[in-house]
Amino acid sequence: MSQRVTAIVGGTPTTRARCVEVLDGMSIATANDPQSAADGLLWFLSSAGIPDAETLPRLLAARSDESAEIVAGVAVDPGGAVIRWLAPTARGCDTATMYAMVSRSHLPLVAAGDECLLVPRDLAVAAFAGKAQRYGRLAARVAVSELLQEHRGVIVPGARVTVDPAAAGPLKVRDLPDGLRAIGAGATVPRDLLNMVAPGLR
Amino acid sequence: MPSGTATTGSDSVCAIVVTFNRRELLRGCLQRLSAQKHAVDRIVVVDNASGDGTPEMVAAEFPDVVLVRLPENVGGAGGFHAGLERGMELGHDWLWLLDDDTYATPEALAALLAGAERAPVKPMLLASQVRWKDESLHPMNVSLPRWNDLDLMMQSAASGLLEIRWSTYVSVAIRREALERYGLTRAHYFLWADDIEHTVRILRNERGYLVPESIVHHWTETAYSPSSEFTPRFYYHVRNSILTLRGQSFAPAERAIYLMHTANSIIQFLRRHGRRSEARSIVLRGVRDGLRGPVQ
Repeated sequence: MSQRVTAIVGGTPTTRARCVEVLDGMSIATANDPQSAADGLLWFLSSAGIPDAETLPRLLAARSDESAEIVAGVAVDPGGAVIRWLAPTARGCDTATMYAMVSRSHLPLVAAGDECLLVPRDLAVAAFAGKAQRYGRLAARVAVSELLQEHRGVIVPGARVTVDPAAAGPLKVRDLPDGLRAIGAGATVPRDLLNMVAPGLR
Repeated sequence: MPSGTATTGSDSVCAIVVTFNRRELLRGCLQRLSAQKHAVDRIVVVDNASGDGTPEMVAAEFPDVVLVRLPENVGGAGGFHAGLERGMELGHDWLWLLDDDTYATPEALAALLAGAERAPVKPMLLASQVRWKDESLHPMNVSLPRWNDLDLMMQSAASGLLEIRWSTYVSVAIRREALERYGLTRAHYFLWADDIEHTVRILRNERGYLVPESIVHHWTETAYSPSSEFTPRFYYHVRNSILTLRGQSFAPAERAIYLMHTANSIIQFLRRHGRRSEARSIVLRGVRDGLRGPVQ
């Protein structure tokens, strides 16, 4: 690894402790928030997802291969299924870019949360500042949306973190005001909105 | 979940090309098919009663090609229907469909078959990336990704494939098994949208992928889309899209999306050409015949 990586782990105290234990085993430092992290890359694991051994190397390789600043992995449940409401999306991307990226086993990043997100610290500190208060659970979506206006993003489908969906459930109707503010700020949150308006609807 | 590694290494491939009065383009197409790095097992050319010496050229310059001479022009849809029938009679595993103005790169077929080998779920259909002369994507031939199955979308992307919901006949390989199960092209569509209906029908319950490394060029004079140029052929686009919407190939939610897609193309056509009374007539006739015509 040419750059230092610091993980920012969320989740409940129990899931966070388990995630930090796994990261310790991989010799990856953790920090409580972007401000207190060392310079380099921040690896957001907001739902305390457990990464595979290959997850971080794949994120770093994609960052290099695609010359991308914003790199998203995929949150899956313990059965290996993608968790829809946490999934990054390429929907709406430029088709030619998509074909080129797919040939390298990647997808263009159009929207994502921070369940598995690799971002340079300096960008993250500026983009995430103050978002949580205003956008609640949609804060990361707004931050990523802002970052993607200036920087290239990539989804790495083979980079997975296993999340307990019970501890990171779908958005609820009470999240609707945050969701509407997020949409107003230009974030792409269609599936979240769908779940807010009609929970359980796929 | 069945594996995608389904004996593609020994599968036989029959290329099917439909042509009508485009001898020079067809020659270029056949030259490129003959130069594939993974050799095509057989080439079938369906001639829609060309009057420009096409059959004679094929017989003289490509003696190994199986030539199907139709007594009249039955359009691309009728031609591909006949070609698929012939290809299946000949016993091939994959039927690779191309227009006569499709120039396949030397690796196009090898890449398609390699895609089948690494697919997360056994593919019934494989499509190429279709470019125009200037290497931009051809707007007529952009396959639609299947966004609603996130698991398979991510799995296929991790395998370097794009899961798709429909494709066009400008380089699509269809597994024989899919044709036996879901049928052939609807011949009465004549032109346009026949390929979309057919691939949508197959992929409603099956899986298909675009293989990015498989590249072909669609050698049209301009990089047109159905609505971009004024042509009486737009009638078939309107009629056939409505016929498809009336059929069972789309799931209900998908039907709404395709309806919007169709409506958008009609709006674009009328915006560009609506000052011509003929343009409005083309659309009206297409809508009328789409609502009245036979779905199957």
